[in-house]
Amino acid sequence: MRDRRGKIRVLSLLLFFWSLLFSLPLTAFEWPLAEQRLLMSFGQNKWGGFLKAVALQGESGEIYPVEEGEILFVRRESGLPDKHGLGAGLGTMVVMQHQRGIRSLYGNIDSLQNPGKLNFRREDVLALMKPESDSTEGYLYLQIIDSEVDRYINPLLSLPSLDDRRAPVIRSVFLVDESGRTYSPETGSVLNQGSYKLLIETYDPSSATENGTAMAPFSIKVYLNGVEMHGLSFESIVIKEGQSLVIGAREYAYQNLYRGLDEYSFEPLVLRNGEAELELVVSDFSGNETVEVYQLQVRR
Amino acid sequence: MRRRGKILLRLTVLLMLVLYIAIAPEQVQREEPLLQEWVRDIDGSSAREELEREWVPFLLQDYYGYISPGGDRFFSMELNRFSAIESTSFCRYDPTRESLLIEDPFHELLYPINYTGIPYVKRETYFIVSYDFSSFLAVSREGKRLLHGSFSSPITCLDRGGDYIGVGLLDGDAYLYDESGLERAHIQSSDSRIEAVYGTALSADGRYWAIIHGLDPQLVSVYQLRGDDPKRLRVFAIDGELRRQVVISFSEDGAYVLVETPKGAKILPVQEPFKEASISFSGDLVDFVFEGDGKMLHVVTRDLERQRSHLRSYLPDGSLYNEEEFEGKAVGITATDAALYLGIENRVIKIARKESGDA
Repeated sequence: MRDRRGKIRVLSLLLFFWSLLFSLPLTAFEWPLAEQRLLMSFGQNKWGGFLKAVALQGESGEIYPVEEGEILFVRRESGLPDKHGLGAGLGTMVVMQHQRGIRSLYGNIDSLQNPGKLNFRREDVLALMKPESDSTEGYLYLQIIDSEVDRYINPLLSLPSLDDRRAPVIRSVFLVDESGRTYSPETGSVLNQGSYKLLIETYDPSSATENGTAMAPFSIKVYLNGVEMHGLSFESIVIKEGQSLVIGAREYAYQNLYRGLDEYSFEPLVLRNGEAELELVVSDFSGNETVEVYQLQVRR
Repeated sequence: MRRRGKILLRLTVLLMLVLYIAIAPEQVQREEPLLQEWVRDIDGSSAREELEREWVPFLLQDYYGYISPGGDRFFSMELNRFSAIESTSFCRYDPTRESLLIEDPFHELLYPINYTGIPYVKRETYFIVSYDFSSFLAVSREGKRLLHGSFSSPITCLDRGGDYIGVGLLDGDAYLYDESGLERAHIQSSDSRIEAVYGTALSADGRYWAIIHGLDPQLVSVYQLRGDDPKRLRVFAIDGELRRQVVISFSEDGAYVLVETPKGAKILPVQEPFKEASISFSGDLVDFVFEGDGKMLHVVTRDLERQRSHLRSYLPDGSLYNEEEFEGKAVGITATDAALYLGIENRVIKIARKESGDA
């Protein structure tokens, strides 16, 4: 059983890197800030949907483009109402056009450093950070769009690695049967055979705050008897027929996935008569992993 | 000698007459100038008044609300990013419900909206745009959900006209939906080096659709909406380009499109003869209104550095009809049949047309 599971995980990893190789831009971007910590992660439950960007916390200072490019769109926050504008959701923001149809969006900035300048090299200062009130720090909203394949890409996939040693936390796990009865799976639990919904409350603590503000982990995998039943990974988000879908090894719609801020729903999970090993693997982007295993007894 | 003097005098008069005829159309015509009727400072939120139908909406630096045509009574509320107002309703954030509300203060009706975002109102339709500009919900002023749209690229502009809703995206796509949410048209332009949509406008009757799009060059495409496919009537090239949301709007009768340009604005005719007019001004375009079926265009601009604002009135050929300067930063303008209501910082200024014979 262990060997089989190991092989499947190696195969999953290979598939993951294979999909990265072909579905994502092969560019290596640079961090837009001199120093940063991840404050909000790609795909987390924010503003009534998936967060299609990351938020980077850093000292107030300069913002650089992730790659050389050209200014495509600017929105300036004047502090005055704008009857013809679409609102100030991201404050002052700038969008850059890069090669291969890649666009990067920098939101919640203070101001453009060189108004009127259109073309930026990687080392040119693009904008200045907007400090939060009573702080020398601010946060930058960074979004990457691949306009050739029409999807939002997790910026961390194309940025240098991030120093993060805090592993995700699994706060609670529940199984809900078809009649709506909820079970807390403990090793030795006895459950009836049937189809269940698996609810996992989990988060990745941000290194940007002392108390580890909750972010979405990068991936959640559910194994039953060593076989991957569900595999969520926040690689990219696409809109299909008006629905936001996270695209990784599988597709997940926002409405079906999130049950709360940090609660994820996976269904179906079909338990059959006999012994069952339920394994949950939650990882962050830096590779920190938290694993929980439950040995269940399933009866007819 | 005397005779020569007379001839010289006549020639001078004739020359001046010729010069006047040549220059006069470029000068400010003041045959029927605008007259400032009253100024009302709004210095706080007011208690709820019983509103009357002829009260006019206003949007100021810190407040929004409705004011009576006489300026003696008003209802004002503190402005925040969740505020939007039109002639008979407004949108605000309700902290007790933790949701947005559309409120009809004339009939004391409330319509809660269960959607997260920032409201933007156009022709009696509220667009609640998500914080990240990736989706929106269109709601009628009676709170009826019309359309929800989600896109793989940020939304740059939205408009409403007739039965249609127009959406422009940063990836260069423009969509047209009907009220039932059905996609009626999808335009992917490929005329420029880089494609992006910077502004969109629908005529009030939904007959025409205009899009400002692209970089290198930046173009305005005007479409006629008849049958299933929009028919491109005309493409206008913009001299220079704006890399931000561009103000674009039809006159009420759909005869002209006003487009903001780097140097001012252009008035583009929709039907032949396609003789466009350019208007130049310094400062930022804040707001505008077409009056009398496009016979007059009032444009409000502000100069943030000088803290001055201008209200300029133009004829459809682009000639300047009247110009007034105001102290402070202009925020918006509202037109009624009788007057214009200009918002400057936290002041409402009523400007009426001066009747013939008025002093």
